[in-house]
Amino acid sequence: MDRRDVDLIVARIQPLFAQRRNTRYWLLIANDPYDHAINFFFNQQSLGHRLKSTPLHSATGDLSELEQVISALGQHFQFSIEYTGFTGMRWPSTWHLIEKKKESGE
Amino acid sequence: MVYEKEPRRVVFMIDNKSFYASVESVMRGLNPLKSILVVMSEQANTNGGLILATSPEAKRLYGLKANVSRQRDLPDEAHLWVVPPRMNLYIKRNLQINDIFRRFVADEDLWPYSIDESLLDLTKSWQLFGDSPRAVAEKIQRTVRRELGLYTTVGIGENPVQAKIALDVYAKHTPDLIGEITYRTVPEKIWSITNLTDVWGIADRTARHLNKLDIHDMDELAHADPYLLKQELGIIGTQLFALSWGIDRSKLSQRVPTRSASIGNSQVLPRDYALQSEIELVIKEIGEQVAARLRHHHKQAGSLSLGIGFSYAASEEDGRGGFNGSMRIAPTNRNDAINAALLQLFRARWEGQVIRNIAVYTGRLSPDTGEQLDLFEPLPSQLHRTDLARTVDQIRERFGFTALVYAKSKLRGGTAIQRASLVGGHNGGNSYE
Repeated sequence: MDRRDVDLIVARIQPLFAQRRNTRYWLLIANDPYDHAINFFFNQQSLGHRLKSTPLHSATGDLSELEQVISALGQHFQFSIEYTGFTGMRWPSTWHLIEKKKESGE
Repeated sequence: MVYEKEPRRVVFMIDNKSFYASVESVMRGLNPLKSILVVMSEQANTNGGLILATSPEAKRLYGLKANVSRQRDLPDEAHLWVVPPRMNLYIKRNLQINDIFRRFVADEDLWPYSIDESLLDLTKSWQLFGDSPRAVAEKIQRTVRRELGLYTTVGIGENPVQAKIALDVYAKHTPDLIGEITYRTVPEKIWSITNLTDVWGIADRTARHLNKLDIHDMDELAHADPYLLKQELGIIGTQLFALSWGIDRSKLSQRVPTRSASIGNSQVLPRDYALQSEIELVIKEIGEQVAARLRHHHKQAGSLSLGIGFSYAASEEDGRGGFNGSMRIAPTNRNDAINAALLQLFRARWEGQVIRNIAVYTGRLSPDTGEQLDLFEPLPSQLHRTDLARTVDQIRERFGFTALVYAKSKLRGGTAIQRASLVGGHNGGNSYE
């Protein structure tokens, strides 16, 4: 994972981020143990409506690389981030738990 | 019924539970059996959205039954995840699953049946992997789940049709996702099926036909007069009779040679088309696509058929759903020859109706070994045209279809550019790996 992954993700978010009223936008980052990859999705949901989840990118790399990608993304957007598949794993720099709460369908 | 002479094999029919929806759930770190998710295609021609797959939990909660239903039938509910399809990803997963199956059977005993179903003949190999066929089925299920995160459903039978019915009618509704039918359990497992259309090979039309013969369930089918069935339904009648007794003599390892397949393409248009120029533009685009596929397969077509489907309103008015025309042509795979014939077919039949579907099919395929030259056209220009088409093919093969498109595809009504990235009419997802 490096700068190019960040650029790709940013470029793919831009057309999706319509900034509608009463709509929540956030990133879903899933640890995919089967492909040994990290998958990125752009989720959006208008109040009381269906959730739409669009794939953005899939990349391989370790957690410290992921940390860098996330901080680079933070320079472009302030979306909240939801993590799945990281149960029990911790960020290398801060030792905080990555996934604080399990997603209901996990 | 004496089953002694019937083949007794160990056949598995394995499918993936809600395949596309499960793959998408796993990619998002969700459990495929718990997630509430549908895969919805939102192409221009899907009229707001077409649901391609529904997760088991979404089926249960919202009573969504058949796949391929419309967006308007889908509740607008906050727990429901809607995701776009990625056809290339599903093809990749299907190949990975079949690779796992190959660890349990030899290549010739594996028959991929559809994007999410495969038929395995384990007669010769099951004993290597467990104490019983059921134990082997469980082992295959565990392997796929561990390596790909997906749940598989297994139908076990002594021949392919038993395995298929065990899968469709039983495996999908048991907690362990395994169903089993043997010759001994045919009366209990097959004759007890009361809804004819639940059975593989019987759809609405056949069921109505059987109803007319006073056959309403599998028990009645099994005890009907086979000669009457043959008289009424032809060879299919005998086949259905055999099916009701759980008989199927096909052997997977003996591949049936197929006759030269037909090559063709069809599409639903994104809106109603009424202008002749727009309709003909799409016909030409499809014609070129079909010609390119012929060249790719090194074939020439000796016959062409064009199918046109009217829009809903036009078919109400006309009384027909559309029209079909076909003609013999001198064997060719050249764009201009094929398009000229297609336009001739179209213009001879079209009476101004508004249309929504176009299909082009080729037949009488022969190897592309030489070219029938035309006496009325100078030789160099004929050869030049062939070279041009092949060069365009090569460029597209290397750089993608949209690397080089005809200017006409940019006209109003053209669909080729937009459809270039689709697989089976839905988002391939190539740009997202």
